[in-house]
Amino acid sequence: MDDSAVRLWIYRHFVEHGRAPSLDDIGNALHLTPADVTAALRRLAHDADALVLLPDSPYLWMAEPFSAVPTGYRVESGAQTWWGNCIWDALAILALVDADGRVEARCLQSATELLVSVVDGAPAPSDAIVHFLVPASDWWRSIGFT
Amino acid sequence: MSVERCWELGRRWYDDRLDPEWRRRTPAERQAILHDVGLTGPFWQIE
Repeated sequence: MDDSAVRLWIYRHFVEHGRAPSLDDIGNALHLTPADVTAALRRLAHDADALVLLPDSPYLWMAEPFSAVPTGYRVESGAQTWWGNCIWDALAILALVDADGRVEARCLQSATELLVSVVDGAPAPSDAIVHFLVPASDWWRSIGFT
Repeated sequence: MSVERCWELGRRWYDDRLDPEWRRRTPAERQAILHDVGLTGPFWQIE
């Protein structure tokens, strides 16, 4: 099976279920052996830059903008929820799934709760400021930190 | 940046992720997205 089909299936799983598939989920759905799944994920992460795996593991960490692990950026649309890797990614999830909803986050300095709503396909007016700590040339040096 | 600009950046940056033909964008293509949403200057230089 082409790795691109594995990548797309993983993304669709995130969209529909709000969470990452397990390695078994991927193998069962796509009729791949555990070794095939692990090899495909490794190629997608390290050769294609299509996914991010948890350090020194075969497990999914990010299929950007989705996070496979809970974060401080919870995305909600109706009954469906997702985790974003950052506010940029959290907002992008609603754009990608073409849904209104809201992002729950916290100011990293004051811990004040921040809610950003997306209504009719656009963010509602907000006084919040999005701060980028890392310059673009270093974004991929350590994507988890970025 | 404003939430509105961040939204537009996210919308543009990831709009190909559900495309079966997805491929990683080149640095020039990524730079063009930043430019198009008004993110210019040294901080936003990818390379």
